Amino acid sequence: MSDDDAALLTAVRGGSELAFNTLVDRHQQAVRIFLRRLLGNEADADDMAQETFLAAWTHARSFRGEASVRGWLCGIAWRKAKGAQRSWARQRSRDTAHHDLSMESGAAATMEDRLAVKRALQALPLEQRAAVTLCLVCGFSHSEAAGILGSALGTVKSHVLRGRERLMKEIEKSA
Amino acid sequence: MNDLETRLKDALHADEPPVRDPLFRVEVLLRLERARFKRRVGRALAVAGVLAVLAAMNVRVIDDWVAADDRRLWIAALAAVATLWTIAVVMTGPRFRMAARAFGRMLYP
Repeated sequence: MSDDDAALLTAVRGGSELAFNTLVDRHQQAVRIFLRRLLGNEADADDMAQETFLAAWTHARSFRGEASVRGWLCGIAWRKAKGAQRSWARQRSRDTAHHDLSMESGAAATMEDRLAVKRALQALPLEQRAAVTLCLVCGFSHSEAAGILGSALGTVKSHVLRGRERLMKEIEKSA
Repeated sequence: MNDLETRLKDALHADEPPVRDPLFRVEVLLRLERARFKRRVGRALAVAGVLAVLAAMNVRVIDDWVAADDRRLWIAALAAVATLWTIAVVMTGPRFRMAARAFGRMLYP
């Protein structure tokens, strides 16, 4: 954990909204990316990301410093996603998956690749999807991801390896 | 890194939210305020409810108790002030402040 984050969290514990603002600014992207890939729906993901930060504010004292602040936030997000899994699984529709893919230019990946990866990610079991997202998208190490997910290191490594192979196959097929 | 790996990496990192997003922060702060408001109103309503029930159940006792000694009237007044203070706590909530600000702007544009 960086000194900056440690100081920020101490201030958040003391009730500083300014520090909380900085914390949100600093980590919102990572939490939102994680949830977007996990849930497959931007609106739901951003909604849950907001709830995650709210929980972080309320339970700032529960942070024990064993992981990075970013890892701790992703852990909260993971538990929320797991809890909400049933409700959003019902709402999810593969037919409308392309609606969330922005047509904005600037993205290096083609629409076909993005759609293929999105579909392949959604087809993975939740824990495997989370492990793949944490390691391949958010840049966490395998051991950090294991800590966030509360899983064994070997399980996470296997999830990432197999998940990556599956995504590669989908990309290959979409060509 | 071969072509497939590059394509996978690009696809995984497509549509990422911006590094800085003030709108998202504002949404989080709005939720925080809403949660605080709900907590405050809940607390105030619970206290007011308990007081109202207790007072209703003991109207006669309170009446006799106050009538027995004039000084006790002060204690009853203090209890009333405490009740008003509870209501004031509700009024300091963000929604009430927003309405008060809007009214102020209307009076002094």
